[in-house]
Amino acid sequence: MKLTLRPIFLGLFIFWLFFPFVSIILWSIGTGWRFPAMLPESYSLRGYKIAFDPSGDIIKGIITSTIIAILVGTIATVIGSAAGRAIAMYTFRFKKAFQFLVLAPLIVPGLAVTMGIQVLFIKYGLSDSLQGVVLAHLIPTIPYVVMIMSGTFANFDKSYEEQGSVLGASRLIVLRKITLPIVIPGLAVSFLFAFVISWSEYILTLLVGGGTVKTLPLVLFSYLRGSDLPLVGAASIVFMIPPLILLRFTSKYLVGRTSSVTGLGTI
Amino acid sequence: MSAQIKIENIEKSFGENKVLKGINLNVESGQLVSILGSSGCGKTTLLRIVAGLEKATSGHIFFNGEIQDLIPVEKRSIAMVFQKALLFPSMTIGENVAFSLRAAKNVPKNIDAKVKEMLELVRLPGFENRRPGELSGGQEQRVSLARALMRNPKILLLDEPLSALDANLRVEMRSFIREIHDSFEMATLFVTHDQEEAMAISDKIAFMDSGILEQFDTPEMFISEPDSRKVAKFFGCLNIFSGSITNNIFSSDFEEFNLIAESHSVGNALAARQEDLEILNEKITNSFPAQIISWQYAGSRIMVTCEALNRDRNTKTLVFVETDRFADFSANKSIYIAYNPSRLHVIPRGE
Repeated sequence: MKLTLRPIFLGLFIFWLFFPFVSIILWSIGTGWRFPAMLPESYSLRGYKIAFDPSGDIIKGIITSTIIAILVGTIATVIGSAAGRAIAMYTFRFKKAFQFLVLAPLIVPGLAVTMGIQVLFIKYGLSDSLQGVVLAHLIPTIPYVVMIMSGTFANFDKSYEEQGSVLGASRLIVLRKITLPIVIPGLAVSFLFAFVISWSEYILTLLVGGGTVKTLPLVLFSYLRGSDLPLVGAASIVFMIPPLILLRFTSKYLVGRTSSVTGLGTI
Repeated sequence: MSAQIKIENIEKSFGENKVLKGINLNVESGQLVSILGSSGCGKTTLLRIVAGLEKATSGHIFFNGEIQDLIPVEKRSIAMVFQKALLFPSMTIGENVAFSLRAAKNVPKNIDAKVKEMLELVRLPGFENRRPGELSGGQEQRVSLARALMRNPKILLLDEPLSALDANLRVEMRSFIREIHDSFEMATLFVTHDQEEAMAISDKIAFMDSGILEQFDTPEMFISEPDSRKVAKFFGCLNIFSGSITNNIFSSDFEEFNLIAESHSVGNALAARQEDLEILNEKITNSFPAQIISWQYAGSRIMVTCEALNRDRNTKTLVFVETDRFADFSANKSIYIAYNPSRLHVIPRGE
């Protein structure tokens, strides 16, 4: 009984997982698709032509989103790694409180935090600016990096660094040649997470960017309110591509028993 | 000439816990000194202080007369091998061995030739392009040693480098380490908890217990003239009798032992090694009566457990005799145990 049900459940699961993609692809290339037709009446690439127009909003959105996501990914990975290392490898006073503070943005509703920082950002002239958006995106991304990197560093043997020092290597060389190559899987996964979170962030960008900083989700949302469904479909497909490319290069670190994945167990 | 390594009055506390209590030790160039002791005695901490990986609470470290206290670990002219081989996983064996040369400010020429030469020395020729995971434990540890020796050090620090290896390999590796030490003319500090290993490899042994240097001597002295009861016990002496000395006679609870005439020993404990005693059927001079309790094989030798009646006629003292001759060791048999006064040792610090 169990054996016969298994393929059915698996089929349903795959359908549930991939059906939205199929429908988006069909939306992006179909025209005149009305209920109750199973498939569009005709097909055209009009949506993609508009999406890839170099002077169009989507290309501009891609550029803005990419710049922000790369900056956020990099900064969050650097800061989060330092904090993750501290949590995993050192004992210090108020460590529990520090851990809680670092992870708090995951528990506290993002909107509440955003309202708070918006006031601050306006005061310091950071609202409506790209820098402001980058700073705001660090709030939900750093906790993930801290978790991943504390898992990575919990499995890191500090003796490797000591071995490097007794061989005459400076701290910088130890970091570059010994530590980084060992923790690179964690760094790659951290960057992936931070990038993807920043890439799909909408509320924080809208509130802090004030509509001046137009990332791809903002552009996508404005199309969604219009009724040009092929364009929405094409834009959605474009929206999915960069994270998928990044996933292609980091996926090897996401599977199996790599230390970077064990850190996620703390979520 | 000043000693290659001079450890002067080193103390170390971790919070309330005092792990090193005023250690003084000199290691000359060309000397291999083992720091021996059971786990938790502070031996690894002492080595880490010499290396600069740990700061001493007080005291000083000198290399060849130069004070090292403020010199960071990477600038000390030492080489160190840890318990684990710690080969850098992202590098090949060749890159691992070349690490110290490439990390140096002035990268020397012919690194490849030097690596080749060093790998030949540790009997791993042609291993340059292998990865760390492809090697056995012993091979990894030899690479680790090669990597350390690339610095051409005057001081070699070894932190239980053999304890992760299996027994046969350990024996092979310790003579290998001795060979390497001799060919490099270094001052070597070798930390171990294995008494046999320390005896086999060292010129001198520094025996530590609870953060105190109990005795610093040549290996044979630890057997023949232990300074304290702890040392005697650690080095396998099973017969340590309490008592007192008057006129070259050591009075224990069960027997008055004759000491050698010129002995001016002072102390309240007597060490009589089990292998120096002999079981006889008749009384001779320098023997005392006892009864056999049991016997068992101890390796290829036989350990006989006996007991001697104390002079209070009530209590008994256990006496162990190790022999290589099989005889009638049946329980309750009355025998005499003979000793050689020149092989008895009065322990100065009998506690």
